[in-house]
Amino acid sequence: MEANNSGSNDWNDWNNKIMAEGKELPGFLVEKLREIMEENESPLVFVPSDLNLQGNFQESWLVLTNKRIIAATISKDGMVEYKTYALTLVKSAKLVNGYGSGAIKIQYEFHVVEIIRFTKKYLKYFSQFARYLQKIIENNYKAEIWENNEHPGLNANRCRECGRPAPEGLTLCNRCQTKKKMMKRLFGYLKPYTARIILMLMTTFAFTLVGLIQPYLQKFMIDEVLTKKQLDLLKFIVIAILAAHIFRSVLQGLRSFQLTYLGQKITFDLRSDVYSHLQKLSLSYFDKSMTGAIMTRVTGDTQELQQFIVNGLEEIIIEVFTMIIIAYFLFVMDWQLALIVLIPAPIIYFGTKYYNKNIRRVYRRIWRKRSNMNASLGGTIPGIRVIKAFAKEDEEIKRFHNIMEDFYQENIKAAKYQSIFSPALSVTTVIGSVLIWGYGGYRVIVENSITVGTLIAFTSYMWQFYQPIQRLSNLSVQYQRALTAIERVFEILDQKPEFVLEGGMQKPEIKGEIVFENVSFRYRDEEEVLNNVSLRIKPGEMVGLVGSSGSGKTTLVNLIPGFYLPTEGNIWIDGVNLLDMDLRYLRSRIGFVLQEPFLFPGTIWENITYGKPDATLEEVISAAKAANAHDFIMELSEGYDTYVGERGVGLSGGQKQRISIARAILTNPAILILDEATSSVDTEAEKLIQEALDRLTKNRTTIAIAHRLSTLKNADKIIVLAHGEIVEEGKHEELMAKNGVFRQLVEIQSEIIRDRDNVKEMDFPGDRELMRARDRDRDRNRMTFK
Amino acid sequence: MGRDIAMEQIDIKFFDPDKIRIYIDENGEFILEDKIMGECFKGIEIKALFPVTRKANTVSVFHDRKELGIILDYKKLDDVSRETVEKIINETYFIPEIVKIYKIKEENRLSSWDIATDKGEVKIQVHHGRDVSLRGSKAYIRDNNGNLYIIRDINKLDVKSRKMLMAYV
Repeated sequence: MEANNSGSNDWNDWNNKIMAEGKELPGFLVEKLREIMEENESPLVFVPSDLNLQGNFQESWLVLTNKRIIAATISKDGMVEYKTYALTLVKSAKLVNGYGSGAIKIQYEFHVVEIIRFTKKYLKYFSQFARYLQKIIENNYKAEIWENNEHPGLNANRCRECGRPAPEGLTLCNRCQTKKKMMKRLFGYLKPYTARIILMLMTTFAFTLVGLIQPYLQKFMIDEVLTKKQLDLLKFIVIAILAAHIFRSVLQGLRSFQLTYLGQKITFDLRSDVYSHLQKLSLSYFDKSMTGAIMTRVTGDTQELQQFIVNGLEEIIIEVFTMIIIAYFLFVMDWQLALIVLIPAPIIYFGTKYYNKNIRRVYRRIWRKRSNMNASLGGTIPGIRVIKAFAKEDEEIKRFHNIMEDFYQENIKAAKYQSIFSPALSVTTVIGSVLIWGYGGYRVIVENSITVGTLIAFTSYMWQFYQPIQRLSNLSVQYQRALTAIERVFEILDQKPEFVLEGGMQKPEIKGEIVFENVSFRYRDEEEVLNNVSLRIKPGEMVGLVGSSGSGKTTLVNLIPGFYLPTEGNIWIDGVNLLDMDLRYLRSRIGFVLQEPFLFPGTIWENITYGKPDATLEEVISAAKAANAHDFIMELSEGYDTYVGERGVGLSGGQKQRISIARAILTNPAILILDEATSSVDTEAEKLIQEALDRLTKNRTTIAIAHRLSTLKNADKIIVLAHGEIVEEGKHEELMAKNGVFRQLVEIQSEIIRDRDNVKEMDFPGDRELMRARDRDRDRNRMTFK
Repeated sequence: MGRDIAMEQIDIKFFDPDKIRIYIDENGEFILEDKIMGECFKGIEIKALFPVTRKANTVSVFHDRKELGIILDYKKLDDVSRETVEKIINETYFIPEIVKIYKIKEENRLSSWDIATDKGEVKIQVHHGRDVSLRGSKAYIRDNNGNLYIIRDINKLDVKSRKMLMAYV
């Protein structure tokens, strides 16, 4: 055993060797290690865990030194218990991944020992550890210093506001997501429109003030004009009342336009932000989110916010302003009566607060139910063919009915809350008015200390004072809905953008050399889909990827353009690490032909030229011809102008596939990825597609996932994957001679084809058609629900 | 792109406009004459690649249901040939251009349009939720019978017509 025996026991130095983020070595452990470690022994890595060997929660640590492995558990009172395992006796190390927890097992000459257990929280680190340890063992126990060489863009998930650790995939931690902060952020969208807001506020203030003059005019009318019978003043006061009304209406129109304008503008900005941010997110975000739910956020939630800004915000400003002004008027007119007016205010305030707390929960549930409803529609409408084929209409209706029932029930719950709250509020305010009439009437009749006009004006103001309180509490519904919507919208905006945008800058000439170096990959906390895969593909090579479903074929090809980044290991394209590569550039040099071709709503021309809008006519027609698409396009009455609607309805699967091949040909990619390109079409279409693909793949690095193994006969190399590992590699004939997995797969497939041919011979031609259609549907079904 | 490998293997012909002639013979048949090879193809068919958008004046010449070749810009042909191609195209593709909308009346899911086109005035029935689409400054209206009408530039419509149209796109 060599290397790193500096013997440095410096705590900071040790902390740098922890294979986990944001963790520090506990003092008790450091003390114990200092006590037990020999002079020339030094730690290589520390890995924290949260379980003990019995599978109970307890802080544990695995320490690897240049001499041994130390597994320690720390009790709450700081007692450190440990076991050590001599490194040179260990023959291999293995990570065992169970459900919810895992373990590291080491193999001695004759027996296996489990040395530590951990939950999924630490799976990632122990997976790294197992590999690191295995490397040391294979290297004849010669330790290399462990370095955290994970790319900074990949992990380091910290809150962009406060720097604390943020939940996975998010750029903001929970602490920075308070109601207040969210509202502040929403108001941030108002900033560019400051001038208009000032104008709107001025209009609003003027509108409110004019409204407040009216009761004063009434008081004047009663006390000065009617009581004193001043006929000459009557016409002035009548004109003044009319003018006040007209002026107020004009102001109202002006204010309402300003508010709508602002609301629309902000929704526009917010939607643009959300949509452009969605485009920047990695595929893994879309893997875990339902399309319908995302759509609700872009359309429904932003709409909710617009309503809040237009109606809610306007009212909050007006009402608060009105309340302040009226309170002033009331106290100036009679401070004793004014105090009585204020009696119900605390009841209203606390009642509203209690109500808000409950209703917000209900609104959250309503949002989720609505989102379920949209997601359900988004999931079933595109699959209507399958529903009909399996005669599942009734089940689907029932399923949707149940989802609607849930949605309905939640709305009813909200309505119940509202129907209790609003009347209760009315009763409370009425108490105030009754007190005013009683005490005020007494003051007019008995004390004669106020005039009738003052009392009438006072009650009029009093209603104007209570109305804002009531409206504000009703507004809480809108406010709560808006808060829920803000939460959802900002959740998208706070998603960490795809690495591509922060990634490397290198743009080497892409010749098509692809190297995988010990690449492992797992989706989030799941088990590894690819495990230590190493392969080398030379420029211009045609490589076939074969394996049963779930063996990691699609994952492997998705790593090449950086749709996902390897959890461990490196990928090199033409000598440049994928992480240092400008991924947008790389992707522009890779062509994709997928199992289910996707056509955008637009003309065939627009679809072919999607990757190269400036292509010349000659180039596009040649590409279509090479893809065996030109002839069928010319059969269509609108030629290249044929509009292929949503998801290219109107064209057969084979035709869509040929358009997507033309699209790939046109960009002249250096690397071509074919993901079961011919699996969803019938034999005749397959022949045309295969012919087009043969043209396309010539002298281009091609990685083809093939459904039909016979199409790989001409491949330079076939890679057979099983459980995320490469199990066989070689040419078609070599693998057939080997009598291994590949040969088995080929034999199974030939058997299926033979059986099918036998059945076809027995059936009538009409049945054959039906069978083919059924096969196609089954394939489609498999694709849809994969 | 240049001529890459995929392109080298395909069999496609682009006609040089200087080297062909298209005309109608005395029997009323359309003829394509290859001036260089001295070949004549009688009874040719001409299909436009962009009959709707008229993105380019590209046409494909068919003979016996087989594509003889493509003319990238038929306007570069000699006068007689150009006029012949135009005649064939006009006869093959009937896509009236809407120049004015007089009235649109809504009737349940259908709307009835009173319009003036370059081919005359007509009243059509349109499924407005589905069959009116705007792409760039062009509008496409497909009537209940599947006929296509086009507005090449909505900005060139009079204000009243444009307002009526915009309510349906």
